[in-house]
Amino acid sequence: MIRQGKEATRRRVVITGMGIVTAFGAGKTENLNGLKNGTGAIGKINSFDVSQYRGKTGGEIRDFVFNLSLKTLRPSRLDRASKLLLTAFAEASFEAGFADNGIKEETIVVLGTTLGGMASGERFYRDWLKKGFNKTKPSLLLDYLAHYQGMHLIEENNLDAEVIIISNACASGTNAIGYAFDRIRSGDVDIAIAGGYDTMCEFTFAGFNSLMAVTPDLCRPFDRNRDGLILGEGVGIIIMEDLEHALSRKAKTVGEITGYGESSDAFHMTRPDPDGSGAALAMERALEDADIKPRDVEYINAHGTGTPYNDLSEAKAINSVFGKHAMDIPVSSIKPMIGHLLGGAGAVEAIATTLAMNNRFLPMNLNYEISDPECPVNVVTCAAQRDVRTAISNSFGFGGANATVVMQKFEVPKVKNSSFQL
Amino acid sequence: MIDPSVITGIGVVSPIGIGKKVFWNALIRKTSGIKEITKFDTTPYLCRRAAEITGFPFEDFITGQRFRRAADISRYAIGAVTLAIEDAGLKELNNRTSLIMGITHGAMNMSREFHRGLVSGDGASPMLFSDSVLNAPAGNVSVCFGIKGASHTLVGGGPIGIRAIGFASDLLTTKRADIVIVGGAEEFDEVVHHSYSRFGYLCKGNELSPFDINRNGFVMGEGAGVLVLERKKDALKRGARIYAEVSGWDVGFSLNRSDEAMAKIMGKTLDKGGVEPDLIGYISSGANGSSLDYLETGAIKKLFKKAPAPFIGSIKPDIGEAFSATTILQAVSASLVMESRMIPPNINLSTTHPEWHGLSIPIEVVKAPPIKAVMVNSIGIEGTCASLVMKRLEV
Repeated sequence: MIRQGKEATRRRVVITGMGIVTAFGAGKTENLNGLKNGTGAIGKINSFDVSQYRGKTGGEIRDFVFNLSLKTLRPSRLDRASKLLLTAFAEASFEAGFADNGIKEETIVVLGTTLGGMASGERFYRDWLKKGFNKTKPSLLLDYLAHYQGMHLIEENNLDAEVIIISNACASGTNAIGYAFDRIRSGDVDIAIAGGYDTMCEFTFAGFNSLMAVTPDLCRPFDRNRDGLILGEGVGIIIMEDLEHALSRKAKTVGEITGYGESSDAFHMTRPDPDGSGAALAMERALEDADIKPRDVEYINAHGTGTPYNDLSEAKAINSVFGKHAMDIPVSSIKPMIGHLLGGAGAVEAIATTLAMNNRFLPMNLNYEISDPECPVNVVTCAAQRDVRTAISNSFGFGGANATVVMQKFEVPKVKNSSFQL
Repeated sequence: MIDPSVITGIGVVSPIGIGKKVFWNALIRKTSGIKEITKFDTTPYLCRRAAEITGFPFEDFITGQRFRRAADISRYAIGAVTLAIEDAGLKELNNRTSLIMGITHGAMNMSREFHRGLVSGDGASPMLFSDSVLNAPAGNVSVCFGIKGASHTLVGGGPIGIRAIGFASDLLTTKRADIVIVGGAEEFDEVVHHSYSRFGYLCKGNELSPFDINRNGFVMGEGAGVLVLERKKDALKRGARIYAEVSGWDVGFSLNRSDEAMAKIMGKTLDKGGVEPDLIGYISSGANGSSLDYLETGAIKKLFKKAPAPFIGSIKPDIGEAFSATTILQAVSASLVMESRMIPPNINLSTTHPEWHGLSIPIEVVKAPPIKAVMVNSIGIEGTCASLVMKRLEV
């Protein structure tokens, strides 16, 4: 329960642990290498028959082996989404220094997802439609519910936590980080587990195909010949903490979140507002929230889905917010490499942005060839060395949800006589 | 200085009526919306009853074709939002207006039909897809009313209704929004009925009566409840009618299924709201006749040991269990209890279950003295516990 706004408190919100599983593989090392090398991880979809669809490729996590030894849950009963979530959390919690004793204090788990346990839901529907109601397993229907994966996470890790599931389509992951950010900054909680996940499912694949949103070719955000997105799957989990709390327990700090903004288009269920005003509002609000000026932003991790509509309105929004600085700021979308992770996108992209800042490079916008005069942004065409201190990451979703998070490369405060003593 | 959130508008679409007046009168007059199921053939089921909404006059609310074809859950949400906005006297919604929807199962009807298309080989329907996703009700409402602040869909069981109210209040406190429309919506569908039936959660033949010795489960319901929330200062400034102050809430999880966790959550809720237990005049119980009801009973007995026992009531025998939607409607009825000083009767109750002995569970309407504060509780079948405290504004 938040009792005061940001004016009343000066708490800084830092990242102390990150966990990630994408088509690049499990873990930060695999993902960092993938991002740096700029090799895509998109391939033909294996988990279901795609012969009847326009698009045939996706960013599946191949050869994913779930090898955590569980104390409470039975792995055979878990939905793929729960397995991904537990894996990423284990990595994040290890990095944050909680591997031995776990997180003992009260915390919140804020997760974005669009599908929850849809893989279980699909099995339920298939059994029922092919064999009849009485041949179904009702437990599949529980695993299908979007709040069960988060519940599995707290059960297995014995967390004293509330689970908050945000399902705002493709903006969900960024919304989750934003809400956790508010709860920590306001002094309501000292530590939060935030992120997002989604698995590759025929439901969404068929759905996005039916909307003609999936490309049969390559995903090429902001390119003149872009003609659609490519779906992926994955999870990103970050441990967020009040800076003083992190310092007091001598945790390693890997990044900082300094602002967040959100808005809605109120325009159309599946199309963004072509004038980009909703997206621009989210970015403006995030900059204002972080108390920075447009010229302070050194990298934009774009939503960049590769659909004609999204990239057009995002480019317009970037130009409207950054004005004459717009062409100075490098912009890239990592979706051509790993696909669009829906509820997982915002969290995975926030982690990718943090990894890029810490390793001093800009992730490239793969497959970009021909500039589009309608989308005048400064696209990163190859993974370039660059020191970035301030970046934003955008996520925009169906239903018109827009969210932007501002990230800062973490630097130890230089102020003397403060309580920041290492 | 903390500026609390207050409720300035109420919208109800329920099996016992559309609109807060009809809803409230039905509660007072002991009406139940639970009837024989009409939406599908109930031959295979032991539980053949549910609280369905029949003859919903959607045309009264919306003229746009686009929304007429939307899933029931979205239509109920649009109906309840229309009523709540009207009730709050809001003239204009802008980019400082936000929307929070609490959803449990979502548009099961369209989700099921979409999968039928896939399995049968008929193919995928774009309309069914965009309307079956979890955030479709929020998307529809946002587009329909031009809500350009953030719109969030929160997913969970019954307790997500309380979390949604808390989330909305957080947005007001951090000044990310000036007005937040917060609601819960669910639609009744055979898939859900079937599953809860197989789990053994549903009543087997008898009435839904959570406090009765013969309780044996719940029946499904549907509908939407919507509240308009504003900061108290803003509401007073524009001379809005204020139903209640949203004073405190807490949500957590009972890992070991003990009433300790619920007692801790209710205690924290009172603390955060700055409310002593003896101020609580009414508890809208989340009990629904299922196996976790004892978490709340035990917690109430622990917390109100010294205080005079508040009146306790469940509106689920009237409107069924529609999870997030029901929880918001519990908040609605608890607000109206403070306003009317009347406690709605608990219907279907003949012999109180020993678990609830010693507590004050009226079966007739009680004309109560002024009630200063009320509590709303909800417990999810997965073990999530939530509590909310609201205060009547001192006038």
